[in-house]
Amino acid sequence: MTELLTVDDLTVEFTRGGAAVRPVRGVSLTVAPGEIVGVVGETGCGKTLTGLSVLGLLPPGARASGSVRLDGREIIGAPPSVLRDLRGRQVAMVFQNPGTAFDPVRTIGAQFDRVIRAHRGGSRGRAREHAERLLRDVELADTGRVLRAYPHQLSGGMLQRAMIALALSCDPRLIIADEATSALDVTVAQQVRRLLLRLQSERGFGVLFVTHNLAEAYDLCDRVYVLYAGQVAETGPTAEVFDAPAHPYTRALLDALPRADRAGTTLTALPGTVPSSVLAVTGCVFANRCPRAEETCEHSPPPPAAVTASRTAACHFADTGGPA
Amino acid sequence: MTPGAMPRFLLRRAGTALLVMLGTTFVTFLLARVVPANPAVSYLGPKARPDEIARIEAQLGLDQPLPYQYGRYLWDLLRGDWGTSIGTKLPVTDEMFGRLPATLELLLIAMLLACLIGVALGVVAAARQNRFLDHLIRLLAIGGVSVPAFWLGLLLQVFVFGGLGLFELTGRLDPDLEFTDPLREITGFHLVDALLTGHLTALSDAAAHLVLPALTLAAYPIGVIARMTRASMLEILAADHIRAARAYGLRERIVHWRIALRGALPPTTTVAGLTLAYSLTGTFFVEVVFNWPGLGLFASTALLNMDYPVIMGITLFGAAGYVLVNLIVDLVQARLDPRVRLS
Ligand SMILES: Nc1ncnc2c1ncn2[C@@H]1O[C@H](COP(=O)(O)OP(=O)(O)OP(=O)(O)O)[C@@H](O)[C@H]1O
Ligand code: SF4
Ligand SMILES: [Mg+2]
Repeated sequence: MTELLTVDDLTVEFTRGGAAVRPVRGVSLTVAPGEIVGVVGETGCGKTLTGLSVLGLLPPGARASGSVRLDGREIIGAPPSVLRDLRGRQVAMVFQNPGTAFDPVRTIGAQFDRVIRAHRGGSRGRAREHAERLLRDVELADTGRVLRAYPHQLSGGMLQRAMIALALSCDPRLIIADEATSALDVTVAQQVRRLLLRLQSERGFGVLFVTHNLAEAYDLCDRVYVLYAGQVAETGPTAEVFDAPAHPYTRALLDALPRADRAGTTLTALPGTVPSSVLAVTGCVFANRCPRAEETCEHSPPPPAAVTASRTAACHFADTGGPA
Repeated sequence: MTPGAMPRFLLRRAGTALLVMLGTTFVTFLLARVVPANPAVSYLGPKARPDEIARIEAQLGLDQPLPYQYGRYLWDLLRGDWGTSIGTKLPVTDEMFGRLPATLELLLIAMLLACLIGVALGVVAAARQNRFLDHLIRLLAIGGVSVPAFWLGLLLQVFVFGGLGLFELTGRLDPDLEFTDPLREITGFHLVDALLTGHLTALSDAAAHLVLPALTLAAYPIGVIARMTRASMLEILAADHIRAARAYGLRERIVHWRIALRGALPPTTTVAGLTLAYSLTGTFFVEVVFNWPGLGLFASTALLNMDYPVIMGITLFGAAGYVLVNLIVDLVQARLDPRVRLS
């Protein structure tokens, strides 16, 4: 299969207080054309930085190494002009907070106009027609009003729809959605998920879906990567991973969820925290919280190993079968 | 947008402006009637006889109670009677309006320079944050706000005119032009008049005379505007919507000069307006240093001669200018920031 996105051994490093910190450490993942791939994990595990790496848009001071290839083109170290051509056209991002992702002092219409004409050229009129088409496609009815409005005049749900429309304005092959529904009400979030699914099946773009919401990942994603402390703990088809987690961390995450079929059982929150300096850990980074940790775990880091043909887990004692 | 939001906003601001002006008349009145020695004496000179003083006092209404005098002062102001200059024996309003274009021309050019240079410096500094250019610009900005205008004026006179032989030292036009090829006054703004009459010699001469005083007057606003622009640019450049703009593949040039700068404009406009108001006082020094025949120079002569009607008139005029500038800033701000306009 020719992948749309191939992230290979991605590491993101900052220097903080004279010492190196690496929020992303050797992450590898792929997205095939038309595939929806989830990236899940607790806050601070490096989801956003992974997503931004794909756009070549890491915050100042960040150094990325490894490889990020979009449609075969390398992004790490690419010159600004190449990145500019990719952004918007090949890959576009839907941000977590639609209320702040739009420029507060310009109308939505002006912002569509700018992006559309930056990539496609053409007249204002053509750009406007295109914007209206896009807005109708994300089920915003009164397109004229939306285009004339300033961001603060629209609701979060409308803005997120508009943002999706803007992301789709140049027909990108990959959409990165970073917590795209986290800032929305439950029902609105559900509508936005349906919308994304519909658009995805109609247009066939790939999606890298970053979320800390496991239920959402379960609902949307074909495959999922579970990140822990900047590393991939486990990956595989969503249903398989969630129904029979192979990595103790995945299991712990799922156990922490309130589940209808296990109503009445106690909610096991994950005890402990991520080690403050993961770089000092010599063995498995999860060892200090892992219920299954043994002597070996303290000394040797577990490499990602195949669990089944389509799944890997980075654990010395990965489960290879049996129901959750 | 709620209809009528803008007019209501305007009315409120205009009301405040009126109150401020009324307060100023009270202050100028007190200054002129209470603080100095008998104004009648100022009119007549030190050798006046008591009966003459009494006659003038009665004529000026000085024998009436103060509230009455204040009311009459206001009434006269409204009628356009701002008194007569003790020095020139001409109506204060005539004197002021005659000199206003010179001051306005200087002030406008200075502000134009300040906005263009200050904003450009601020944007570049923000784009190059913590690099050499940023440090240099910040240093310049600090210099601009801390160097006194008269001193900077002298420096420019010595080094740019004296050293490099560039531009002109004092005045508004080469006095020789008066005899060889006089500039016909239409608006009183020499640049405009020269353009209107196609007088190219006068145009370049007027410009050469403007550069140094305008730069001197602009130094402070340049510093303030550059710092404000830099600060608001940095704040905006860290915002989500800037990251979004980059994520959608917009050029850095657009991100800085269109999107971020547009967002930085409202606070920058406020500050520019306030410094413009502040520069009204700056013209005073600059006009003296460069012998610029405007209101500031006039006021300094009036001060030296204790020419009270002129001092009162110019104070009031300055206050009106200050209030007007602030009013305009408010309106511009409301236009620039939809959140202000609609709230
Ligand atoms: N600009 C930065 N400088 C230094 N460290 C950073 C910077 N940005 C992020 N980090 C570090 O990288 C880690 C991972 O950040 P990231 O935003 O990718 O996490 P995340 O998984 O998206 O978390 P969340 O669910 O909270 O969004 C954070 O713990 C943070 O400390
Ligand atoms: S390697 Fe050991 S510590 Fe790490 S997850 Fe597996 S069992 Fe737990
Ligand atoms: Mg995040």
